[in-house]
Amino acid sequence: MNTKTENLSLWNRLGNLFNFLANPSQFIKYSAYILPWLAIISLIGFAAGLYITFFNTPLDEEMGSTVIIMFVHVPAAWVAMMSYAIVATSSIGLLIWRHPLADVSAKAAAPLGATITFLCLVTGSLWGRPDWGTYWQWDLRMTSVLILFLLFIGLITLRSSIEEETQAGKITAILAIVGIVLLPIIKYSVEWQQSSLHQKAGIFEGQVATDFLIPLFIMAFSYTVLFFYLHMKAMRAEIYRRRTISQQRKHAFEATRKEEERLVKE
Amino acid sequence: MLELGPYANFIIACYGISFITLIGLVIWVNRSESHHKKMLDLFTIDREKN
Repeated sequence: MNTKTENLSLWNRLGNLFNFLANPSQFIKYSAYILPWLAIISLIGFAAGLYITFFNTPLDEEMGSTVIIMFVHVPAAWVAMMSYAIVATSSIGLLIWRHPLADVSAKAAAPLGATITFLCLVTGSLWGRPDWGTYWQWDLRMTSVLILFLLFIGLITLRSSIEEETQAGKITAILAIVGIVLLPIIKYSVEWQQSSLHQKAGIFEGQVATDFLIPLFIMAFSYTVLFFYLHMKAMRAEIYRRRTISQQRKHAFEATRKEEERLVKE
Repeated sequence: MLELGPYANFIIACYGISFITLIGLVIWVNRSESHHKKMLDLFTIDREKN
């Protein structure tokens, strides 16, 4: 009984902490402290990653020097999927808890995710030419990532096509939740389609040498930190935009009310 | 330094596109944030004056 009460209390405390941090004003306040650190960590990470890539990476027996394209392509792929997971999780947060910051998060992550998915497609295509002899193959992996990119574009377009902000957020959230199905398809596509030219997943299966794993993880870490920096900045911009609109509406409402009062007096 | 070999163009293109885009994103989010903050400040100051 006591343990149950303690658990409940811990759960409540966590809920309170989440609510405290998810408050737009608190978010603006605390993100201002976090952002410079994210920028510094990301910058140092990229500098170290690039140094190791170009000065301390051996040539691969099969791919030769093109193996280093992996250090920009794979992190882009991971962060692209992570950004979609953030859009989808935020959308669930909006639809279930109706939290305004969840909508801000989903809206801010979509263009970032689209750009990084685009980078994943471009770098993958440029890596494919020397290694496979072709820029593109309509296999399950490449096609599903292309669909992810189009889904991001669809989310951005759908949101901007609906004028009413709350309605736009909700409709976009539904599409984002439906799109979650793409993430496992992308992940397991290379296992399902054996004829694909794309490499099988081998990074966490011990099939990649440590010489390549170190720069890969440093670059992936830097990419992730940079994404959180960009996401926080974009969220702050969106909060400021919404506050301006809200102030303008309040001002217009007050002006109308004053005008009506004046007319009544006359 | 790593010998880039015959596919140097592909490697340079990949790294170039990636970093130019990422730097572009950093510039875009920063400009966007400062623009909206400026708009909010301007509006708030205008309201206080009125």
